[in-house]
Amino acid sequence: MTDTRPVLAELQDVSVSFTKGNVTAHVVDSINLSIKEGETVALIGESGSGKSVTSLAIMHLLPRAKIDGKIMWHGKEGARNLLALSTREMRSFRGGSIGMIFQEPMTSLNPLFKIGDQIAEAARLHRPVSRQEARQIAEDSLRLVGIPEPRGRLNTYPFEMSGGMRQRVMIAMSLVCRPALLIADEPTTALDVTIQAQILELLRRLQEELGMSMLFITHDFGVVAEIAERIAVMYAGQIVEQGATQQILENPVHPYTRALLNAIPRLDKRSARLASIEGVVPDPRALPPGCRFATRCQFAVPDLCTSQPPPLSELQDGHAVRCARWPEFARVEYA
Amino acid sequence: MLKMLILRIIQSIPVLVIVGAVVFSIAVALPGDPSLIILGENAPEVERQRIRLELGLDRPVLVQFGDWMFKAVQGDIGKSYKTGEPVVSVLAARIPVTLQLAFLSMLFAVVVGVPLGMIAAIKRNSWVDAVVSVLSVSALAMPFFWVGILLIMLFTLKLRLLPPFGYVPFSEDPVQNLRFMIMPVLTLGSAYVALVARQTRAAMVQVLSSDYIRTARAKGASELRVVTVHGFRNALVAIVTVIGLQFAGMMGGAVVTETVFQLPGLGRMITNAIFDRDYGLMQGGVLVVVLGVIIVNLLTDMAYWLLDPRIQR
Ligand SMILES: Nc1ncnc2c1ncn2[C@@H]1O[C@H](COP(=O)(O)OP(=O)(O)OP(=O)(O)O)[C@@H](O)[C@H]1O
Ligand SMILES: [Mg+2]
Repeated sequence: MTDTRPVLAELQDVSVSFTKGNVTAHVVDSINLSIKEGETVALIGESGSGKSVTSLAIMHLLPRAKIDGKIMWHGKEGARNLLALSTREMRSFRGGSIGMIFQEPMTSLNPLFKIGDQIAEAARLHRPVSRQEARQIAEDSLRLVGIPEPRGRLNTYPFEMSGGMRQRVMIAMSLVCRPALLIADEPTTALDVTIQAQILELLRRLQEELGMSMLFITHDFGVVAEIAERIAVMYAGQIVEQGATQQILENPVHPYTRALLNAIPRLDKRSARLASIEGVVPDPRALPPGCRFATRCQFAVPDLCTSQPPPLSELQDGHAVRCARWPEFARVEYA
Repeated sequence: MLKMLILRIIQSIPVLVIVGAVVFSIAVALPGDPSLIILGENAPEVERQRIRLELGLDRPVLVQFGDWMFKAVQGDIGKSYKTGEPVVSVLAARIPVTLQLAFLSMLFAVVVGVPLGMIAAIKRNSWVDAVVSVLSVSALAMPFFWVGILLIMLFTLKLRLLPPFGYVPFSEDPVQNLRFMIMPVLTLGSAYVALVARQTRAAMVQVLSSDYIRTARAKGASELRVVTVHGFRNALVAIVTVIGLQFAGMMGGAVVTETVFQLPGLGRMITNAIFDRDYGLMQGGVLVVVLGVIIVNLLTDMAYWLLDPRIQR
């Protein structure tokens, strides 16, 4: 079965670095990632691996960063490089063709404005609608995300709502202009487990109903299987493994991917602590010359892994891995 | 709102009583005999005794205090020892001067300081920010009297634009009144421009790094809208706080400024009253200042209430 859906957004060799004084932090390094129309792609990795920076680069919301590469957008008007747009043009994408929701629902809404006004603002920024129409759009939007009594809710303030409700409001706000792409940066991380499941289910339903694409960022493999068609695993600013969800879950090749999979908290195993990978993500200001995971990898061997960076090798259609020893780790039929 | 206001007014009563006690006891504790002030150095003892009796100074201190408070509540805060004029009518002439000076200075501080602070926050760590910061520190470091003298040298002696000192009530001659007020307002206001600018910058820097600002940008709001609508509204609470708090400190600056420019305001009245040992007048003046500070605090609280829905519910 081949996927014939056209590509909507395409990151081509996107790198992001921050320079402070004479120290440069290479936070994202030559990322290639494409998202098709109606597709959900998960970007997964530990804290500090550069997931948020990648998503903010797509939105042009990194004021002090140097961004290289291209972010191609294949819209109705043909292909455009988002990184080459003027501020004004980019603004029409933000909240227009691209919606975004964030990790912290408690602080992501303006505390001083009624949620109805905040959602209506999102509509009025992009469409020539009257105050009343915008209000109606806000109400409909709240209904869409399953908030009961949406009309009355328009006049409440964020502090009067729970975290789960606020995240629904954020989703409602990001969807008012029916974006072609929704970037969800760890939308459930800050929520209770039961609420997490509800929000996840909501996002999946909305993605289907509205036929939008979604870039779903998470550090939890537990949630991606339910929502993503494809997975990109990120480590220290690079994509280290990428493939269809099934490929990754059934045949994880990179030792980092495997370690992440082992780090999923298991409800049946009663361990007090979650399994986690030893060590920390390397400092983006001082990256090792070879494989960036080598310092923490139990399979790392001198020279092969530590002297030069491994290339991204394709195992099978769509399944690629950045590991010098991948032939040993992949299941026989791939090798 | 009304409930909060009433509650706050009730809460102010003990403060007023305590302040009354402090003010009263200062007058009692300070050296110098009022009867000498009223009658002059060489007054005969009999006359002095008569005056003391008239002022009730022979009674126990506590009784004097009770009597003073009782009358104060009814609006009678005694007479000037020196001129015999009722303190209330002296105050009535002085208060508008200081009120105008303080109000115009704060207005100047806000109109100049808030935009400066906002620009410094938006262009943080740029040369603009550095310039604003250096200006703020210099403005804060300069004593009021020195600023005042510099202004007189510039506007009066060099440019011959403004009268060096004097005063006419606004109601008599508004233009002349404002001409007299320009330099005092610049003098008193400059330090507050610096304070307001610094507080605005700090508040805006913090607000602009918040998540909801990122959300506003992600919605597609223009930078101008992000800063003025989403940012400034949130920074306003902190800015109002500094304005409210600084108002009390402004009275100190008003004393110096009124002296330099010979404005017949409260500050100068209190200083003169202290030099003259005119305790009756001094008590009244201090009481009015404290009352003013309490009222400003009340207004600040009301401003919070208006600005932040979290306080309303
Ligand atoms: N504005 C910035 N200036 C300098 N460094 C930055 C900036 N923003 C992020 N970084 C650095 O980039 C790295 C990646 O950050 P990022 O927020 O993308 O991680 P993440 O994968 O989203 O992690 P998390 O799961 O914690 O959200 C971190 O080391 C961070 O310190
Ligand atoms: Mg993040």
